[in-house]
Amino acid sequence: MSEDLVTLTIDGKEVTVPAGTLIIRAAEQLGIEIPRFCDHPMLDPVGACRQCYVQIEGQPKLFTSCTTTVAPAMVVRTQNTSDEAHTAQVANLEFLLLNHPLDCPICDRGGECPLQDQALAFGPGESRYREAKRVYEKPLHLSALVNLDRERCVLCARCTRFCDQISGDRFIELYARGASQQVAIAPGEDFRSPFSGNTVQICPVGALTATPYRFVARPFDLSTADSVCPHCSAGCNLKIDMRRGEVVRQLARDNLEVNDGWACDKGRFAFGFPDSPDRITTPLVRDHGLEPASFGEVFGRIAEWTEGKRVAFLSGGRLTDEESYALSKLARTVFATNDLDHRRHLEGGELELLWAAGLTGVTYERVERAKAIVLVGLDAEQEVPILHLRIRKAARRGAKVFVIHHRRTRLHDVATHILCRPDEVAGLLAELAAGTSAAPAGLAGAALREAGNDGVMLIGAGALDRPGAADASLAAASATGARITMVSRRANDHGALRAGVHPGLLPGGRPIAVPEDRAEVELVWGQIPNYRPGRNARQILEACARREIDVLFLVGVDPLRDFPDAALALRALRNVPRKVVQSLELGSLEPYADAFLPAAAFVEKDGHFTTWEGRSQRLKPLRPAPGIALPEWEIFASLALACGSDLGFETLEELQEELGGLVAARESVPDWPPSPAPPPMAQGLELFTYPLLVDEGRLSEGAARLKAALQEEAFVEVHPQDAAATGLAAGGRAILRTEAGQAELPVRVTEHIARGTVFVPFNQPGLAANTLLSGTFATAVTLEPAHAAAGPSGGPADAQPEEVPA
Amino acid sequence: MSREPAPQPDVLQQVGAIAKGMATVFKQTFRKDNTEQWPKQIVAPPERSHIGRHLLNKHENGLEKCIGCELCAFACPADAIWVEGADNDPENPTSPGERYAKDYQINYLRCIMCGLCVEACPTRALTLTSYFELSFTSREEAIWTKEQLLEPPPPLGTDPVDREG
Amino acid sequence: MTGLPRVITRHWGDESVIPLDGYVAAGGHRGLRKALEMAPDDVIALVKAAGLRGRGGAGFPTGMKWSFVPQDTGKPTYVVVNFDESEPGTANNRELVEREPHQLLEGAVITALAVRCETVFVYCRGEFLWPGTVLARAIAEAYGAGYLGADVLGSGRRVDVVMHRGAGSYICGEETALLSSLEGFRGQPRLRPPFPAVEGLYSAPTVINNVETLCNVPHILSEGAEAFRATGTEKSPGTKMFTLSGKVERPGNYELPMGTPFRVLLEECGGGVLGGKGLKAWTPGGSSTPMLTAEHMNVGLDFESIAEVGSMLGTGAVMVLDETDCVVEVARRLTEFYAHESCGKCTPCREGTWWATRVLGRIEEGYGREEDIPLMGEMGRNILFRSFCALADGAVSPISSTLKHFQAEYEAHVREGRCPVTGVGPGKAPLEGVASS
Repeated sequence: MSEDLVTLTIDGKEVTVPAGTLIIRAAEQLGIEIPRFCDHPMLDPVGACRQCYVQIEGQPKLFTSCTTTVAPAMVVRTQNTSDEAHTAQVANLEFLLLNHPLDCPICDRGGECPLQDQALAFGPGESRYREAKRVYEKPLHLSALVNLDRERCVLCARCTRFCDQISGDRFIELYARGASQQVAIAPGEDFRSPFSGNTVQICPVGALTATPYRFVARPFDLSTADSVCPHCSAGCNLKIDMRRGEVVRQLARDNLEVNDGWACDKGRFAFGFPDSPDRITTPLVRDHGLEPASFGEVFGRIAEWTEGKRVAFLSGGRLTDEESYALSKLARTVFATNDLDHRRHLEGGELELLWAAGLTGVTYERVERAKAIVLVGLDAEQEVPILHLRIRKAARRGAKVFVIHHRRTRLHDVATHILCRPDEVAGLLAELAAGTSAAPAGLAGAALREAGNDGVMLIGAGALDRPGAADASLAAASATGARITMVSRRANDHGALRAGVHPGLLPGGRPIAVPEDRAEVELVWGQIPNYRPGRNARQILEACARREIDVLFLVGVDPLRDFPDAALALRALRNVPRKVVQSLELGSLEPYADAFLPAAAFVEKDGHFTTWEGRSQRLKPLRPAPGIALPEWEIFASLALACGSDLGFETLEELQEELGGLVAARESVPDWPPSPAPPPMAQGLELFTYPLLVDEGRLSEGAARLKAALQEEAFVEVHPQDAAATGLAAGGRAILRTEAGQAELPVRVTEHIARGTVFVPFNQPGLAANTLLSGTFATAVTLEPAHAAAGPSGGPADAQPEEVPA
Repeated sequence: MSREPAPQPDVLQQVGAIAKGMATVFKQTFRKDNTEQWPKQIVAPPERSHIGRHLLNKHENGLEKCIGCELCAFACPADAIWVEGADNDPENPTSPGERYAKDYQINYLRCIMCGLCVEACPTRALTLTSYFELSFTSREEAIWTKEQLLEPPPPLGTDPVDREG
Repeated sequence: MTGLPRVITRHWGDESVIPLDGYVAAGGHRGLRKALEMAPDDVIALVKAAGLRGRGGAGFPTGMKWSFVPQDTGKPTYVVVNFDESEPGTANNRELVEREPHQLLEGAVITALAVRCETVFVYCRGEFLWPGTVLARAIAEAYGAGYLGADVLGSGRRVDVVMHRGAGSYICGEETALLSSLEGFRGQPRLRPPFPAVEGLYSAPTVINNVETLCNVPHILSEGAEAFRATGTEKSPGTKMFTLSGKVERPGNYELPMGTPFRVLLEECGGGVLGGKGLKAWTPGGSSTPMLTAEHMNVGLDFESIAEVGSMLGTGAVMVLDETDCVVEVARRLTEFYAHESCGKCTPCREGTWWATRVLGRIEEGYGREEDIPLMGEMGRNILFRSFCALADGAVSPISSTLKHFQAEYEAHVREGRCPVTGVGPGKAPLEGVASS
């Protein structure tokens, strides 16, 4: 987008900016601060607070710099050089402070409040107001997370504009008028937006405050450091505030390339897990019971157990790039096994290979500037919330958005949804690739074709479980010329894949079976003893269940909760002789672990997380790890030494140097066989599941208020016609039966789900949906109404070792 | 750098100076003694002198004046004060308004009695008293809790710890 | 009455023009038929030539406004009739609609034809229950007789009229707030630019005209620009409706040529000040225009002459105060109206009007302080031209104009602790702080 440049003068300094820039932004470029409240760079100008008045030479009236665009040769004088502008600002502050309570000492914003700062810098100093101030009931609980104090509100409308323009869920709105105008929510309604915390952060006063931070600390108590959110692959940049080493608050940090200035409520409020009381900070080893031991002892035992034995590794999405790399190298060079995997979905075929090799080239910026966006099997709001906001931003800029999914997502007001059964995804993608039909899929294809290089396809990891979907989407992308990428939910799935925590891929997406690619890695690692591709996560668990594996390492993962086949995971844990758990805590693995290695949490370690785009972002250690917990790469390196081997690096820098060379973006990828066909789908009802944003996941444990505000109990969602056919009624309860198990859940009937499909959330209180699954996130199901005397809910009792009654 | 040689004072001048100094000594030797024989003799400090430990005041209706705002802790140059705020129970409030001090501690091993905390207090909840008889036998004892700070000081000379010495 | 020419009120008193056939029989819809024969641009040119200026308050040339509407946007064009007449003291739109609804509709349809619009919205003030009913009936009648609909009088041109009743908010008379309200959002003004002519209702080009303005249009069409220019002044041609209210013998709506001296309106139309008392002050164009005094008896009632003496013609709502009225009370009550009607969007208006009512109330009740009078002046300056829309500018007018003309009366309130005119108040040296409750 080439733009004309405009040169103007502000306070006697010349500045050249693109035409259309607001004066307030141009002044920022010169380092001139014009006070403001309603102005926010991510929101449309509104001109409500009238604080940012400037004088423009030749104009009789003052202008609000947040709504006035620059013009050539304009001469602007701010409060620094214009008495008139200064007087207007002082007067306006006086107006704003008339009704503002003097409760700064107990206000959570006190000390970091724009109104306080500006009153100090520009304010009149003394009040001429003698009358009583406006009084409201306070605080008003908008949700379990957000409190509203209407007395402090300056009615800048940042929060309501955020809900309108950014998140698109207009829970709060201005209400009444004149001096009685206030922010309000519909009676009986809760501020259930997963982005509600952003309104707290952009509030220029203490009107909106977050309950988890209520009266917890004052700004001067806090030590603040930059970090990256560990909850999903969006990679939101965070500021982490700690009081005496304990995380008390997380705020979104501006990064226009990643999260703009936003974070979702999970990233903002689920910060308690590193300080969880369940955390274990010393190694444990099972002699009679699990007993504390030194790292040396535990390593010695593990070395004994693994000597000449068959070893497999499962990891999750919490490891940094460096740790994943160390794991990949450890498994392959020390234990000579390729049985390692971080995934829980099926193989992604060539799409996954492209993603692993960093060749997809889709970034947030590409999404924002796209002219057409197609999401396949991705509920962006629930899985990668900040990507959802970017897609909305693109839609506001005119992008055509299509969603191919089984269930309507929160993009429904800006996107065309193409609801389909799981087995219809591939067919729709073929229709999209052809782009000729007048049906929505055809229109989506035409839109992508028209957009060309500005078309984007986002393939959710869930789509990989649908027969042929991964390959069909790749074909659709090449037919339409769209850019395509995979979007996986967990924080560092992408990093783990690129670092080679995969049975068939070495670091940098190099297939181990391809000699040239393997040779590139062997230049660094030396000979890789075993180059037959190993087992994937499912096959590893099956092998464990068949007692074909002797030692199973579970690194930051709990297959009982995460793997879409709880019964298989349980059989595997029971049958594999030795289990080594490396994590923050044991949780449901406590009965099975033979050894425990305490790992450092994300605030305690150095390394990188890779976003779904492939952007590596640095994590910094913000505090020492508690006890003797260690960063996982150090554990791997020490374990290698204990096993009489050496990973070849002693410091993180050495590791990073090795890793950097291997994961640098590559020119191309070798041919790759099509992904194995997932099991065929039955003709009857098809159940599908994916995790919702706030679920029973390990990292949200302890975030009680977040859960109170946003967590839903487990439910089953069915189409009205399916409900009628099976005799279910909204508000009633249904018994679900699958090959793997059964459950009883409350029924929601909605037209916004494809006919013939049934949705249950993956891990909400009331049901661990993996007890219903047999290895993929979709399965055949039968439904029947539950009667009052129905048996207990849930699957086979032994498949749910940790189920707690709701 | 060059320096001028110091001029040599003559002997008479030196003797004079010594005599002057000794005169001062003699004058003081025979003046009335100002030393107070604490703890044998308790002399009340002047009215309104603020030289001793802190007191957390209460309103007449029994509510604590302290609202837990931590401004005292912010003002403290010695980092001697620890405050933790919490939400008042609207039914049974500890202090007026929304916030109260759930925890309030002053570490008298750190406190330098400068009174900046008192100046910072927006509700006049924190004042210094004239009770200076502070002595401790352990670190824990030197950290005064909220309950102790809410207690008005006893009359001087009644602290059992001091009497033992 | 005065025997001066009447144009848009010529049929007043004749109830037969309320139904459509009576209106046509009395010569109605000749303008529309003429407009249908003309090219749209010629209609605009004619209205330009007539020099018709908007009667809603600002006096912007109507033909010019129409000509700003872009025609190649690919979006529909809308005409919006601003029938949200809520300025205190103004009641002429209401009577124009009640007594001759088809005159307005004819003007609206001509406007629609001129700007090539197919949909006209009439934004009717929510409290106008009866006028709204009259207008709704007239719209139905006009559809039945083919004056509205898909084929206006067989011309092949489509014009639909939709009436929307507001929910009772003064700010919705402000054109951008009116558009927001019409779209279903909160009635709060929007940023300009983009101006409504370019991006108005539903982001499409929109012409917004006042009822009185549109009532003049049929007559310009049927009788020509010259006939229109025959009355009024050079720069403000035509007649203007004046709503005379307050302390006069015969309050009511009067149509007078522009430039008629105030004396004629007050004495010949209104029969002089009520009870023969002395004139104290008067507003030339509603409560948001600065007040004038007895000095200005001979000022001509047209845009230029009123502006010369420091006020505005506004909507032509003349409110008359006599010598027994307390100006502080008047200022307080008018300011209360603005504080109540402020939409709350911008700070100076929301907080400033609120503060002003409190200070004025204190002065009125005898609890004023000496510093309050300069404070009121400064507050007025801090609000004026600093708010988002013109509402707050209007709210300042009663304060600043009474302070300008009657500062002594304010001072007497403060000094004596009671109103020097009515005697209300606790008397000298009121207790400090009593009024702070």
